[in-house]
Amino acid sequence: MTESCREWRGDLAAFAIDRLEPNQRLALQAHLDGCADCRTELAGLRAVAKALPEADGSHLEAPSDPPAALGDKILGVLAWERAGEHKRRRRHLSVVVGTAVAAVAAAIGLLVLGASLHATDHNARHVAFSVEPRGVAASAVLHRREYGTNVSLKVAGLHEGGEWYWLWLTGDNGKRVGAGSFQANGGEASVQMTSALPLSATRRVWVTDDKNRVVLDTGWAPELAPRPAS
Amino acid sequence: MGTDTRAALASDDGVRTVYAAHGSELYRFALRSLGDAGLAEEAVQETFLRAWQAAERFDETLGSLRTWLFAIVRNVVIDLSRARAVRPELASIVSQTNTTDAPGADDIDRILVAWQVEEALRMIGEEHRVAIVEVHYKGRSYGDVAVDLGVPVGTVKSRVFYALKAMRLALEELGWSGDD
Repeated sequence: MTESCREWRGDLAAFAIDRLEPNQRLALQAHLDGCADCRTELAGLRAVAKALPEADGSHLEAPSDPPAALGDKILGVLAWERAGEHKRRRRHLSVVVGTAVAAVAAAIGLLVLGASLHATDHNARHVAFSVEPRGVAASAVLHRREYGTNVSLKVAGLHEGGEWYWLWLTGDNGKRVGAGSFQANGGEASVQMTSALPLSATRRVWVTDDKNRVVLDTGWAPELAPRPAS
Repeated sequence: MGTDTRAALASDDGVRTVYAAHGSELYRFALRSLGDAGLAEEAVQETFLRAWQAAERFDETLGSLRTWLFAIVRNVVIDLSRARAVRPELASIVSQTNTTDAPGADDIDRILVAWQVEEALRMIGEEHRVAIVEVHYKGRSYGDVAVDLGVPVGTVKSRVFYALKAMRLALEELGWSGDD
């Protein structure tokens, strides 16, 4: 690009956004015919100019900031996921060790531990689905978390095509809150999902498929909220 | 590489850093696409979750973390749009639910470009933004804008030029691929 090209910059931009007067356009075209650098510059400007009409002028001002609590909520979700991954790794390890060393003893130990946790965990509720398609078996446990509710969902017998499903919680005000989506590879899924809805306000747990049909549903269940610890 | 991203998302400080850098723009894109603050919040949350789950597959030689996060949020937005479009509350009653209102990938891509242009306009300098908004979006003549701003016409033309140049850089930073 030569020093004289600088003089053409304004006209290049005006040409790119189609605002150059016809007589100026002729002069610019004459320069472009002999200047590869300016032709390249114009191509770059035109690419941006082509995208300009996509923007909506009403969105240019006052950008929306996310809620202040969103960052902490994400931290909570990932912390829970990280903890879940550790648990899964520990569970896998315990199965391997238990099989090799003392399967029966390990199984008894796990049963005792599981029973103990179930009896003392007042921040969790087991969920039974009143709506389940034939051949589908599902269970879920809701856990109270600082950021809302964690749902441990296990389901089998769904379509084996790897379809997507969405898990929803409905609050005591009737408003639904999403807990995310999951894919049932081989018709099965064992997932940890989260919703911002507090467990104390949760009254319904339900799953929809990609055609938005309800697949699993507890129905309206006031007893979902955990009883206070005694 | 993926390991670094996984490591970044493995600690609270790392998540805070990634969220501080990209959380707001992800939220604004989701809000722009979905038109619902609650769903936008859900979309960002789901984006970070999927990013954490897939962090091993992130390859910074193929694109920036921002570009990767935007590829994820784009898919999340499509999922949420489809879920919302079919009105799940009614689906169990109305079996012949119309699903044609769900925006497709092309619609979301157009919204993504729109958002990128708007975000790029916010990112460039005030003088350049005013010049391009007045001349292009408001359709005013260079002369009128020059009079309003108290500068020569050549200065307005120059500002529009630099506005487009700065926008190109901003758009590329936002993962725009407008030369396709």
